[in-house]
Amino acid sequence: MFSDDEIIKSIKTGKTQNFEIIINRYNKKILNFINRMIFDYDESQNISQDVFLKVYENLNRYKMEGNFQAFIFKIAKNLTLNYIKKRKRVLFFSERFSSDIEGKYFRYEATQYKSIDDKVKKELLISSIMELKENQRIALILKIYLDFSYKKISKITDWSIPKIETLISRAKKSLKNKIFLQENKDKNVYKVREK
Amino acid sequence: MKCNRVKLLLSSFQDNELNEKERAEIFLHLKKCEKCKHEFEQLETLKKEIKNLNDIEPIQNFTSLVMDKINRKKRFNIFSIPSLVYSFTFILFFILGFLINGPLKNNVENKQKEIYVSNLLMQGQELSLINVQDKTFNILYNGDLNEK
Repeated sequence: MFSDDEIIKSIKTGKTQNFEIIINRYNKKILNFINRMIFDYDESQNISQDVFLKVYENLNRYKMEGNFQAFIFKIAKNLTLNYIKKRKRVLFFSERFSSDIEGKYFRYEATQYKSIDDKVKKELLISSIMELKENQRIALILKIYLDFSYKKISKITDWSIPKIETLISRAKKSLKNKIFLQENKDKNVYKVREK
Repeated sequence: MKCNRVKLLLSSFQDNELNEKERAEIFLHLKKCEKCKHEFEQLETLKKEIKNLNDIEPIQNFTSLVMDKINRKKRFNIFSIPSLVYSFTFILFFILGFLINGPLKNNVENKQKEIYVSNLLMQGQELSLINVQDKTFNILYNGDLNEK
């Protein structure tokens, strides 16, 4: 299997079709990274296409340092943040639209719940992730979903390692409080009903 | 290591970002302290649940869609440097052509006409032969045409 850098080198020398290999190698990861940031199936598909277009347009900027993953995820992160900013502006001007977007968070996996309990749990997790600050969400997803090291996350985001450490720790704490507190409340409700 | 310190480092411990010494200390602490152990277990459950969120699949023709867009952009990229040079040259020639056939040409013709009329006047010929409607010609004659 050719390395990313070898493929990029061939694309730069004119073999444009080799970019297909890059797309096939990264499209699922990029798509799901974006979807975990915005939880919107259609928009995630659109943004991930834009990511690959932007990557192709900016290939000359890539310095072949064996760091193509950081390069592509940096573009994905930037485009996703642009989309989130744009969506915030739209939400600011239209409250009606806001309810549509909230509905979209859960649409992407509507048919894949194992049980109602599973559905409630996942919805709570998704809404808790969406309530995190964007920076916390980016750092958390890059770490937990993609299993990137703090060093790699630093290359993608240009944040210092201590900052990443703090962002991830706070994100986990916030999610933990929301999810386990809610679960405890639910358990108490069940206990009262049983009595 | 005390609980407060462990709680502070627990997230980095889970992410495998601590040095060997710190890792060993936290590992030992978790064996003894039920409270911190419980907190770590909650973090592990959370991690598992985030990882277990269902993945979505790229749309069926994702790759060909992107490649089509790239090829289309390559063909019609009017903002590329060669395209800009071609466009600029074309516009420059267009403007030059316009100037040569329009204002510049008229200026030369008017100059010739002025010389022609002043020659006529010097020779005392009838000015009615000249098209006085033309503004450039009007300035050359101040008297009454009918009188001549």
